[in-house]
Amino acid sequence: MALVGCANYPHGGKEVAEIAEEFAKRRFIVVATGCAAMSMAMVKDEEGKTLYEKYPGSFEAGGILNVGSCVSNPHIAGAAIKIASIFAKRNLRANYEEIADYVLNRVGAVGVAWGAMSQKAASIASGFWRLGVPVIVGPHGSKYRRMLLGRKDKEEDWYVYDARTGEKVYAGPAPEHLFTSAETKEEAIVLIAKLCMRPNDTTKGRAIKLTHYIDLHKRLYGFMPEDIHLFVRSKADIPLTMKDEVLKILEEKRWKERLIPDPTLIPRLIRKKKSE
Amino acid sequence: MSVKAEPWQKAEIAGPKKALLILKPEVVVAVVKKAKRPILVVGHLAAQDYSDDVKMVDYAIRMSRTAKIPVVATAHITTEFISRGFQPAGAMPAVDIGNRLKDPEWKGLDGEGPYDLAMFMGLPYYMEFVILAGLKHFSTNLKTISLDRFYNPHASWSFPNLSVKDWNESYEIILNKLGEK
Repeated sequence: MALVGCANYPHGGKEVAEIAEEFAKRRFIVVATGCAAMSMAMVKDEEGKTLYEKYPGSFEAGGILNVGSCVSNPHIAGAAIKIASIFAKRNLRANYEEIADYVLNRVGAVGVAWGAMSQKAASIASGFWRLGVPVIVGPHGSKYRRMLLGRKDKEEDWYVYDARTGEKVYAGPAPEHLFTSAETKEEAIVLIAKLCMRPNDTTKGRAIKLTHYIDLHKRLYGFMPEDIHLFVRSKADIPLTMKDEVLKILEEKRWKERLIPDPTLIPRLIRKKKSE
Repeated sequence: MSVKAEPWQKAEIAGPKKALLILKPEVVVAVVKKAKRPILVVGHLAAQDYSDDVKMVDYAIRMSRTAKIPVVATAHITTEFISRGFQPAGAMPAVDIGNRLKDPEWKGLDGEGPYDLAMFMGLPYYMEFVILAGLKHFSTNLKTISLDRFYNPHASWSFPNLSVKDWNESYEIILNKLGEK
């Protein structure tokens, strides 16, 4: 989770620190740049400690890493690109399409520009979403007047190719949006947890992500999310501690188990054609 | 009632087509009664503004119950509705409901067809401004009303910039004329 962007916050810089701490506690890798990283450093707890003193400054689960200035954002994009290069051996040269396809379908990264206001922040955000990383901006970000919003209620929008068979399979609205604006800090926190989900999540990974999503939704919105059935692919995806509650909802929604694909949006990456 | 048809946000030019002023609260009553499928979108500020004893969220609940209008709660205002024993018809981010209202093929929260009247309250002014601008330009059969106490020029109808007292009185008249018992 990357906290980036300017300092045009709706209710001050404290909110950025609160968002960062929420996810550091949940053992996300939290990175920050520019004004957001500085705002976080200005917030101290009752012991006089900032987040940078409370959490490790390393690129690891539960760490909060100050990457540098606003123009250091490419390091964050670089980390996502390196995953495609190292784990999937994707060529880095002249291969943007495949790398973006990989990041969109497999890398559970989310960017948050809580106080975004400048043209520079807009261009950084567009640099991320074209790489397949969803970006959430604060309420002032709505003034950019251009969002990339998905519609989870339109099932036909969420099909991907299964690279193993060439079949088109429903992958769920993961991630639902590529560029969206959150009205409040609470809404942003729930959105971050939700937009982390990707079609290729393992069952264990999806269960952890769903735990965060459901837990935050219940705590901040006061009720169970209504779209859980879209994110549960098999019963193994259901968080253990919430099994009874979730199964009841799945039954109400007439949920059916579905395949976890090897997802891609690029037909040439299909290894075996349907007719073969 | 002091009337000012100036956008609350400076230096935002709404274009030649601007919201009609709601000079009499009865206008809202007439539009709501005429609408076949109205919807009320309530943002998080409904629980904060305007003063300790006047909360928009209470008016939203009273209006919804009186005129049987479904409510869409945005952000975390759902907690306020639930704590008051009211269940909104839907909950989603403000930009999401704006995106759906723009779509003439959206079947609505209940699957019974698109809405013909959308009323907004409690959203940050600048956010409501751009959502209403989108609906003004891209929706096909939707009228919009801004029920906040600030003039929002992209709506079809909007209150002028009002004091809390005037806004409060207007709302009481609306609820009364809608038939609140």
